[in-house]
Amino acid sequence: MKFFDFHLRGKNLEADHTLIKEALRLGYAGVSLFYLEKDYKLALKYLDRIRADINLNNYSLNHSSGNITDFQIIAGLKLKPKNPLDLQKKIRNLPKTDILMVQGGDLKINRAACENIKVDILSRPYYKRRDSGINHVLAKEAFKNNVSIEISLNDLLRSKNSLRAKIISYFHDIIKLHRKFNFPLLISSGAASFYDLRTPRDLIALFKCLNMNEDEIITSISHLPRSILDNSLQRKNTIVSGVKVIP
Amino acid sequence: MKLKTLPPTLREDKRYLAFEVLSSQDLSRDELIFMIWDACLKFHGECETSKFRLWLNRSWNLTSKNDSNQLSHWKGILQCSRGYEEKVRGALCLLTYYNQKRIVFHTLGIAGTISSLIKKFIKPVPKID
Repeated sequence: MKFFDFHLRGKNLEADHTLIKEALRLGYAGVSLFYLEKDYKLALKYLDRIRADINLNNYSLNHSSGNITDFQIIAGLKLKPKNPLDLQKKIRNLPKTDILMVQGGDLKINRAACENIKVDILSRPYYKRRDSGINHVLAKEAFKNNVSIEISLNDLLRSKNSLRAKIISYFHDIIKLHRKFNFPLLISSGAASFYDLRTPRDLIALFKCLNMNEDEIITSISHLPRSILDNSLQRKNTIVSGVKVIP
Repeated sequence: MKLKTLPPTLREDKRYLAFEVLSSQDLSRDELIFMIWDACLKFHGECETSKFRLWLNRSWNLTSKNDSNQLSHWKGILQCSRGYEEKVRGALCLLTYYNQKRIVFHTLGIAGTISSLIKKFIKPVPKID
């Protein structure tokens, strides 16, 4: 089984290198690092260096599968729009990217992201809110436009006591809607340092405690990331909706 | 006077978890035990944690003095009741801070005996192709 950590927060060359090496050690088959618009171009350059370094050095001793040739490092773009109009503008003037993520939290932005077919992931719709940020309307839209809703482990790790309990209840709400409306649900670490990374089996154990079953969790950390990547590849070859270039 | 040991049929089944801890500060074995209990109590509550029957069997301090990052590194074996290993694992992975310093807790694996756990996860034999 190949597991992906689909949201690492990219910072700089050294920090990203450490994160990627740790993810490799913990048994992930791929990671995706997300950058803001201003850092994205620079990040693309140094990610190539990291890829080359990981392939050159023999890290395979630590890797559970023993094979690192398949290890995927994907760069993604993270948008933090102020309002839905700003989101549309930013998407129009977007640099070429594999994956597009929108930081949620504001209800209008959550809705605009769920309604936009170009958005791959709506990250943390519950961020700085007193509810999950998703309702039945947004859930239907997310399913229609194939927008994944991300829940981040980092929110659990950085909180404690009542705040952690509230975040868990938001997770429960999102999971309930996911079961009813079948929108893609993504589980990721949202790690900014190697202290935030957990092994895939730990993630499965934790989300089992939150009443998800093993199949749902495996879909969220293994099958869904692969399908997002496939969609992104297809999108590159698409000229207009329904017409694509066959290589 | 010591209680007579229960016959094997009446004893609770056990599972063993191999774990590793990385921390930015020095840790002692007692602190490790406190952290494990605290994590389980906070996440599952007193009633549920009472069913886990947690016991730290072995621990190894692997901190290297030459380590430039000054990371404290521990490995250990934690005993719990059979059927609750996933709950213990889930609670332990939520450990992030101890004394306001960063800490990370990885479960390396689960086994039914200590010897197989050590063989598989603590001192794994490298595979020869």
